[in-house]
Order: sequence, then structure tokens, then C-alpha cells
Amino acid sequence: MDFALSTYYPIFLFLLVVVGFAVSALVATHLLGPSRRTPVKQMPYESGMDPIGDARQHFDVKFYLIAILFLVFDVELLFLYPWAAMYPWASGPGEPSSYLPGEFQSLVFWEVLVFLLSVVVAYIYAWRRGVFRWR
Amino acid sequence: MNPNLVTALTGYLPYLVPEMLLGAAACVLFLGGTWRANRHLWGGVALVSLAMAALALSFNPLPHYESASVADASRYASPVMLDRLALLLRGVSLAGGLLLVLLCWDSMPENRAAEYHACLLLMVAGMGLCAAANELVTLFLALELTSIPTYLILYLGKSSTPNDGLDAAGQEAAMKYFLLSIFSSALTLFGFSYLYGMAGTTNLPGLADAFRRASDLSAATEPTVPSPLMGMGMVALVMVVAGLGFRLTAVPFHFYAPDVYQGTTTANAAVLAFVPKVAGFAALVRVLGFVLPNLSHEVFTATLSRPILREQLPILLWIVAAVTMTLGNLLGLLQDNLRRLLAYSSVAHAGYMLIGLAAAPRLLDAFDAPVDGVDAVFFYLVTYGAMTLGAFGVLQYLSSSGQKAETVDDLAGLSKTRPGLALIMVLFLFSLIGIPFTAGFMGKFLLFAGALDVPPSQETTFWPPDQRTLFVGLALLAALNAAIGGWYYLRIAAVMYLRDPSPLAAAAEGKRSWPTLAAVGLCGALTLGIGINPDPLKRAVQSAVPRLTDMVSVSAVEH
Amino acid sequence: MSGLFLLLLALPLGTAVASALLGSGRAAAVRWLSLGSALASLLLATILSVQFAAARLDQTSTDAKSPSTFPDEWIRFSTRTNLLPLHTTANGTVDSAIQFYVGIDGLNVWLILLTALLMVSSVLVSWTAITERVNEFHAWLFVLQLGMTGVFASFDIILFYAFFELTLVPLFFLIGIWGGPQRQYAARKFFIYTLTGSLVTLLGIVSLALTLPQIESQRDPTRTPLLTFAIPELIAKVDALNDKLPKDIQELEQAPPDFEPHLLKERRERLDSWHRVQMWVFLAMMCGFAVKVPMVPVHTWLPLAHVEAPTAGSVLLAGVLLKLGTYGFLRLCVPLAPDASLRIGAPLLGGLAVVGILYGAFCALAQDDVKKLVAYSSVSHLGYCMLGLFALNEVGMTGSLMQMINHGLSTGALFLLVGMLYERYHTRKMADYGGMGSRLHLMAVFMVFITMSSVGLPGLNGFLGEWLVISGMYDFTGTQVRGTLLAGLSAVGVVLGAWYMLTMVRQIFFGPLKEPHREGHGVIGDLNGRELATLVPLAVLCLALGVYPKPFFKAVSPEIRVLAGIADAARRRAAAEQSPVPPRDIRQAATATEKK
Repeated sequence: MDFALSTYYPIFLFLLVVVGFAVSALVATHLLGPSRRTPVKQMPYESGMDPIGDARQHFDVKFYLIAILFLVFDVELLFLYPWAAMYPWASGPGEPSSYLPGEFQSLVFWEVLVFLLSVVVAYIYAWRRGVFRWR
Repeated sequence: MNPNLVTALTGYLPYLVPEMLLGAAACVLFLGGTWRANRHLWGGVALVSLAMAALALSFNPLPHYESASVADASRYASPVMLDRLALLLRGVSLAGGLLLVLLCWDSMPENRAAEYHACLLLMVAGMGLCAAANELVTLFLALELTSIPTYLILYLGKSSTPNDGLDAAGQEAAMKYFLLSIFSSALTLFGFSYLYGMAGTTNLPGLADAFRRASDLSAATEPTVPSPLMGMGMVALVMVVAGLGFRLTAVPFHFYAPDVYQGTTTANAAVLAFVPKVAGFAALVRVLGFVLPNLSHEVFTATLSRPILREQLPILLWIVAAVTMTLGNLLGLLQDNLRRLLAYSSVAHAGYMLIGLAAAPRLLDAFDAPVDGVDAVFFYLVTYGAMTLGAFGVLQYLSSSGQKAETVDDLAGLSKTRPGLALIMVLFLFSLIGIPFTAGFMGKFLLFAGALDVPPSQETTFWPPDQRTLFVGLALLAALNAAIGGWYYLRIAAVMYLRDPSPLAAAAEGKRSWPTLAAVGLCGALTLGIGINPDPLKRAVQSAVPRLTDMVSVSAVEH
Repeated sequence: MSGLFLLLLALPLGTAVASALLGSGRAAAVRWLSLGSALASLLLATILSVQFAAARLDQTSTDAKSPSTFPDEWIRFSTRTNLLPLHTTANGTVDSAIQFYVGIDGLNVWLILLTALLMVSSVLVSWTAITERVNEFHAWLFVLQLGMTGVFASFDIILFYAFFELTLVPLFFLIGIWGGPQRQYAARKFFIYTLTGSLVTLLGIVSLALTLPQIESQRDPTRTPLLTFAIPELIAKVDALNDKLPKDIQELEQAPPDFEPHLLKERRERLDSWHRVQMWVFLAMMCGFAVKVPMVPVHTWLPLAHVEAPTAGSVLLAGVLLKLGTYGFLRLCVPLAPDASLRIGAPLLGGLAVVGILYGAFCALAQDDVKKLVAYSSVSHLGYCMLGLFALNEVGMTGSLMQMINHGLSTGALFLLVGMLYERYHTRKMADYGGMGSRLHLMAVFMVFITMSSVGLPGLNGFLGEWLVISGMYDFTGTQVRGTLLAGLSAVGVVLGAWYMLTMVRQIFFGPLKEPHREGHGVIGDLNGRELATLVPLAVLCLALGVYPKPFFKAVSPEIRVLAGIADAARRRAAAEQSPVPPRDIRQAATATEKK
């Protein structure tokens, strides 16, 4: 646990260089570059299309609902994956059947069922409340 | 695998049946509400499930460990700690849940009733788990379990039809609460991460042990230099207190409360005044280690020998308590909106309760203290719940029966139009002031007794000043604050009794909301009952909180 | 017999609930119920106090030495049960608790009787004056009676405080609902003033009770002292500490030369800290009681409350509630903080009392409103109570207690009379009246009689009280105050009192007839039977106390002697500190120890 600051000097140096480069590049372009303020130059995309309307747009809330629903089922999968990896599936002879001690196997099984059930409840709730209806 | 460990990791499940029942009932309510829209049906289901949870709790109140080693394993491995404190607070949250279900009965649109009650049930489960948490992760999850349903009910309460949104104030309230609550959760989590980083465990007793070892080590090697943990410990302490202070509405984290209470419905304001406070105080007490397992005296004293708790914590909480009660009461003087007024009142009462927490570590040196500080806090929490829910209940009853109850003036002449209701409101108001023979008086008495019992410092220095002087000063400040608070509570009483009713109020006589009335009646009975015979509650609270003084003497004998 | 006494407490509560439940429709029923209950209370109080006084009169033995604290057996008709256990021993018995501890002793017996008597008057005087919300009015009135009787009867400080605060609630409503035009402001001002003061008092008494065991255990670590809230036990503890702490120091100073200097230093510090505790406790208690009395700088709520209150409220406020303050000083401050009472109390409160006497008198002189005049006369008269009390000797304290009763009787009667006058003409301006004696014969008779009692005509009660107070102050021996000066100044107040009272009587009842003009009143009658029934008992008692005060003095004297003894002990300690025995040279002793 010997802590020596000198070990980290390269990192500090690196950080310094990074920041220094960014700052110096900005400053240099500001100082060196010619600047002419014409209406065309002031546009966001000087050589692109003329912008139409406001940059901020309203998105329908339906998209958010879909996104949240996706998140729910995605996260569900995320939880199921380690469970599946840990659960004592039948495996070859000589291998440890699971990392999970035997005492917990039934408990963990039912726990996952409860978890799935709660997701199902959420799904039915969303269905019944008409979240999936594309209005 | 070590069978003790297996017991520790699985044995607690049967004891959490009440919370599981509540969760299952919430699922039923969420689904059922999509088929039938009927507030009485779903309210009834919520009541029944609360009753069943209470029954389950009474069947399996406290775990019985076969041997000390099993108990030890549970303490260090189990995610929940099912001690008497947990039992008390789970009971309190079930009772509070019952009151809230009754109180909110008519507050939401018919088609949202099921969801609303489901949210209430989840909050009750969350409060219970908060009180039982033995681990930082469990604690955080339990806190979120109380918070997330709160965000929902802030949206559910007001809209009368699904497509009809909240008004601007309601939206502001819901959004403000949501964002700030998330922010406070982040702060809490940040503090927790420091604790974990320092100790390498999320288990609370384990944390205490780790701190003791570290501070012993530094004391042994370099007694003059303060422990290097001090700085990090301070960050953790401040972050945890700040994050939980949001839930307690402690200044400076109170600023959302007035706006949110005013913007949302009365019933929602009642929920906000009660649920986060219970969860917050339970969490604070657990994290700060005032109440650790009732099985180990050693761990307990070790926590208190932690320099961070002994020196900094009381000062920090002293300041927060003093500022909270003073600001809450002074700003309460200026209010005209009833919910806003009660919001500042709840801020002020959080300040009173913090007195108990601030004094608790100091009371360890007190000779044979009649109160420990922590028990006074939970006593006050119960009385606060009864009287505040009662006051909100009266307002909710009025608004659900068609009378406007927004500003203080709306209550003018209530004693003539509804004498019984006015009388019971006066009971709550006087209890909030702290007039004898009401629960509020006994609560304040115990808090004051704790603060006044702090013994003088061993050596008197200029800084930090003498503890005794400090805490007598705090009690004095609290007394003056109670008098300041008296002014605005009295204003409501004066308006109800000393003014003539406006013709509008006299004319409005709508339907009666019996469940809300029942909630008000129950709160009134509690307020008066605790005021006249505080002994049962005090006994319950004191048996739940292990006596600090007893423990120290026992451990002193053992070593 | 203690059952009877509990009934005296339960009866008002029952009546309050019953009259609240009777509903606003049945005014007559409520009035008769209230009268019956008030009379029953009076009967109970009379039985108990007569018994008490008779027992005291029988004690012919004038035992030369009175005990230094109040023995438990002096508290008659007592009930003592645990309300809130605070500490239990290992075998489960409760050894410290907040108790329901009530009873009658010499200090409170007459005040309890006075309360019951003035309740009857209050009910009678409200008979026609109160027409709105009659049931509520009487309900609050009886809650007030419960509170007042409870304060006097309590022997547990927390219970005392609880009843003390309870009196605020009904009076708030009595003033606020049935009061005059400024009633809301008056009610809230009264409530907040008293609440602020009494909350500080609560801190004082709680911290005293909590500190005593701490100091005791420091003094003698082998014993585990008990936390108690019972007043007699607290007084005994305070007395013991006052006795022992200086002795501890003396013992060391005269000890053999091998004593330890740090021990002496420790004991001196302990005595110092005990004195500091006493001082703060005294100041804290003073906050609440001085507001209630009221002492001069914090008296402003009183004239306002009196003027706005309905007659019954004024009668009880002046007659009984103000005594809660002086009674608190007598019952708690003097015995629980005797040194501080002598050091701070006598100069500060004695001085303020004299200021109050003169200031109240001058304010009364300047008033045109009769009720305000009587209110300021209360400030002045309560100054006598406080002055006698802080003479801290037997004569002065007896006078103070007597003055409490006198003031209750005479000022109560004055407020009744003013209320009756107001009921007839609806004005309280003295300038509106003149020569009413020719119109209202009986009222004039009573007014003159009560005025005489109030200004202290020999032969009536007021004379005895004022005389005792002033002579008590004249005999005052203490450290910093000239008792004669205070006595002289307060005698000026007596003259002023006669001046403003007699001016008032002359203006209203004598001279050319000048009836206030009032639209549409019929014939104004003299006092009717009900009003006579209200006034006669008070007038009779004024006379009786004036000519035969022996039962009064006999009943109170043992307690007063104990209080005087406590105060004398404090005087001796103060004198000993002024001229201390030269302490042994500590350094010398220390070197002696080192040599060994």
C-alpha cells in the first residue's frame, strides 16, 4: 500500500497535454483565423441547407412510453442473465454443478419466478391501460 | 456451507410476510383497477390487506435464534435486522397506512383509486423495510420503495379523468418533488458509497466494527493525530444527513415542501407529511448507529467511540435542528394557505425531533437518563403522525364534502357550521402547540427532558462549548419556537371559533366522507389518548430502542 | 375523603362534557346544570377546607421547631398514582415517575375554596349576560375550573405545569368568543404571552428535577439517587443539598493536614455550579410566573384581556388566574431555589413589585374606563402579593397569601359590580355616569363596601393583608435590599389606591344624577335576587376575614413557617459567605501532603 505520487506523474502529464492542446487549439484558431461577420457566415451550417423552423421539437409521448417499456423488459433480461448463468443446470460429470450452494437453489428459483410475475403484472397493467394502443 | 449463514440469508423471509403481502396486494390493486373503477371496493381491499399484514406481523413478530452464533451470523449477514425497533416501526407504518388509506379515500378520481391505494401499500411496505434494513443496499432500496410510489400519487391525486392533466401548481409540485427526491437519493447514495469505500462492507454492524478497528489502530499508533478516516467520514456523514434531511424536510432541504404541499391535494400532502418522515428517521437512526442489534453491546459502544459520531454528529444535528425549527416556525407565521402553513409546521416539527437525535450520543454519559433521545424521537414521531394526519384529515374531509379549505380564512366560523369537526381540529392544533393533556405535550416533554439531561463536559473549553449549556440552549430555543408556533396554530383556532362563517361555507353541505371522518376520529383518539396516558406508547418505544445507558453499564461490567 | 377531593376535580370535567353535549338549544338546562355543579363544588370545597382548618385549629401545640421541609402527612386528602413511569428497578417496581399527586395543604386550601366560590359567582353573573352559544360558554368555564383547581392541588411539578397550561385554553375561548370588540387580539396576546413564559418555566422545572440526581450522585457516587417530580421530595432534596454542600467544604477545611487540595477545589466547584443551577432555575420559573402575576414589564396583556373578557372571565382571571403566578412563586420558586430567591428574587422581584404597585396605581388614576381601572388596580394589588412574598419571612408571606385571597374576593366582586353596571347601561366610561347612588341603592352600598375592602379599611380583609405585607417588608433582612425603603414606597401605593378607588366611586355613585343615555331601555332596576346572591357571599367573607382571621392564619401557618425557615437558612448561608471562616492555606496543606 505504498502510495507514491510519482507513480501518477505520467498521467498528470498526459492530462496536462490533453487540456493544453485543446485550449491552445481553440485560442490559436480564434487569434489566427480571419473572421468576417456576414449573414451567411453566421448561419449554423454555412454551406448546408437553410434551417427551417425551431430546433426544438415536440415528440409524441407515445415514443417515451415505448422507450420505457423497452427499458423494463430489457432490464428484466439483464437480471435474468446472471441468474441463468449461476443456476445449477445439469452439467458434465466432475464439474461443479453450480456456483450456487445447494441450500439456495429452490429459493433463488422461486425468487426469479416472483420477479417474472411482477414484470408480467406490469405488462398486463400497461396493456389494460392502453399503453400499446397507437393513438 | 455454514448452516448459520444459510439461516442468516434465508431465515428472515418468513418474517417479511407482511411486506410480501402488501406487495402482492399492490399487484392485485394495480391489475384490478384496470377492470373495475370503484373507490369503495379498492379501498376495502387495501384495508383488508393492511389488516392481513398486521395479522402476519403479530403472528411472527420477532425471530428466535437457537444460539448466539446464529444470531451473530444474522447480524453480520442478513439484509434485514428484525429487532424490536423494526417491529415497532413496522407496526407504526401499518397503522399509519391504515389511517392514510382511510384519509385518502375520497381524494382521488374514481378510476385512479386502485392505483392510489396500491401506491400507499407499497409505501407502507417501504417504511417497514426501511426500519428493518441492516444493510446499506437494502436501506436504499427501501427508501426508494417509499419514494417512487410518492411520485405516482402526486400525479394520481388531482386529474379527474385520464386525459385531464394536473393544473400548473400540481404539475410543479409533482415535478419538483420528483427531481429533488431523485437528487436527495443521489446524495444519500454518494454518502453510502463513501461508507462502503471506507469499511469495505455494506453491512451496518460490520461497518461499525470496521470503524472501531480503524480508530483503535490510529489511536494506538498515533494518538495525537486525528484518524485519517475523519475527513472521509465527515463527507459521508454530511452526505447521508443531507440526503435523508430532504425526506425529513430539514432546513436547508425543506424548500420544496411548501410548494409541493400547496400544489398537490390535501390527501397527498398528508402522505408527504408522514411517510418520508418515518422512513427518513428510521434510516437515519439505522445508518448513524444509534440502534444497532440488541444482541451486541460491544458493537454498540464501538460505534459511539467512533470519533466522527462522538464529536461532530451532535454539533451537526444541533445546528440542523436549531435552524430547522426556527426557520419553519418563523416562515409559518407568514402563511395564509393552510397546506403551506402545515408544510412549515412539519418542517418545524422535524426540527424538534432532531433535538432527540442530537442529544442521543451525549446522553450516554448522563446519569440514569429517563430518556435516551432516540426513544423520544420515535415517541414524537408517533404523536406527530397522529396530530398532523388528523389536521390534514379535517381539511381533506372539508374539501371532499364540498367546502373550500384552501386558506386560513376558508375555515372562518367552522365552530358554528360544524362544531364537532372544529373541536377536533382545535385538539390537533393544541397538540401541535404542545398544550398538556395532548400527545404533543408528552412528545415535547420527552424531547426536552433528553436535551436537558445532557451532562456537562468533562473539561470546559471555549470551543467546543460546554455540552450542557449547548443543549439547554437548544431546549430553550425549542421552547421559544413552540411559542412562536403557537401564534399561527392559534390563528387557525381563532378563525374557526372567533369569526362568523362566510355564507358560502354555511351553505355548502355536501356528501359526507365517512372513511376520512373515521381517520380523523382515530387520530383524535390517539392524540388525546397518548396525551392522557402516554405510558403504553412510552413503554413500547423504550423497549424498542435498546437503552444506551443500560448497554454501556453492561459492557463496562463485561470488560 | 380523598375521594371527595377527586370528585372536586372530576365534577367540573363532567359538567363541561355534559353541557357541551346538551347542545346550544337548551340554554336554561345548561345554566341550571352549571349552577348545580358549581354549588356542589362549593359544597365539596367547603367541607374539605373546613375539615382541614378544624384539624389545624385543634393542633394547639405550638411546637417550637418546625420541620425544615414539608412532611408528606401535611398533605391531606391526597391521591398519588403514577402517570408516566420513567424508571423501573430491576424487580419491576416503578421508582420514579410523573405522578398524579394532588392534595390539600395550608398553602392551597383557601385558594381552592376561593376558586369554587368565584365559580358560583361567575355562573350567576353570566345568567343573562351570555345569550349566545351558552353551552359552549359553560363548558369552557368548567374546563377552566378544572385547570385552576388542578394547579392549586398539584404536588407534582409536571402535573402542576400541565394544569397551568390547561387554563390557557378555556380562557382563550372565553375571551375570544364572548369578549368585547378587540377580543381576538386580546385572546391571542394573552395566550402567547403566557405560553412563552410558561414554556421556559417548564424547562426550568424539568432541568431542576433532572439536575438534582446528577449533583447528588456526584456528591456521593455510592448511592443511586432517584429522579422525582413530587414537590415535597424535590424540596427535601434541595434542602439537603443546600445543607450538605457547604458542610462538605467546611469538613475539608477543618480536616487534618493530609487532605487533598483537588478535592476541596472540586467541592467548591460543585457548590458554585449548584448555585448557578439554582439561579437559572429561578430565572426560568420566574419567566412563566411573572407573566401570569403579572409583574410590571410583562403586564401589558392583562388590562387588554380584562377589558375584552366577559364578566365571568374577568372575575376568574382577576380572582383566581393571577394567583396562579404568585402561588407558583410561593409553592415552587422560594422552596426550590431559596438562595436565588434571596439573592435575585428579593431585589429584583421586590423592586419590580413596588414599581408595579406605583405604576398600576398611577395608570388606574388615569383611566376613564371602569373596567380598565379595576384591571390596573389588580396590577397594583398583585404587587403587594409579590412584595410580601419576597419579604421571605413569616409575616410577609402570610400577608401575601392573605392578599391573594383578599384580592380574589374584592376584585372579583368589583368586576361583578362593573359587569352588572355594564349590563344595565352598556357603557363603562366613568364620565357617562354620575349620582347613580340615588338610582341603584343596593349597588352603591355594595360598591362602597367592596371599595373599602379593596383600599384596606381597618376591620375589613384588605387592611390585614396590606398591613402584614408592609410590616413583613419592613422587617426584611437580606443582603442587598433596604426593606424599609420598599415598605415605605409601597405604603404610598395604599394612599394612591384609596385615591383612585374613591374617585371612581364618587364619580359614578355620588354627585348630581347623570344617567347614561341609552336607546330604548325600560326602567333600570336595582340589584335583583340573583345578583344579590352573587355578591353577598363575597361581601360577607370580606367582613369575616377582616374581623376573625384566626382560622385563616392557623390553617396556613405551619407551611408558611417552613417556607420562612427555608428562607432563613438561605439568609444564614448568605451571611456565612459574606464573612467566611478564613480557609486553611491550601498551599501549605499541599506541601504537607507532599512531604508525607
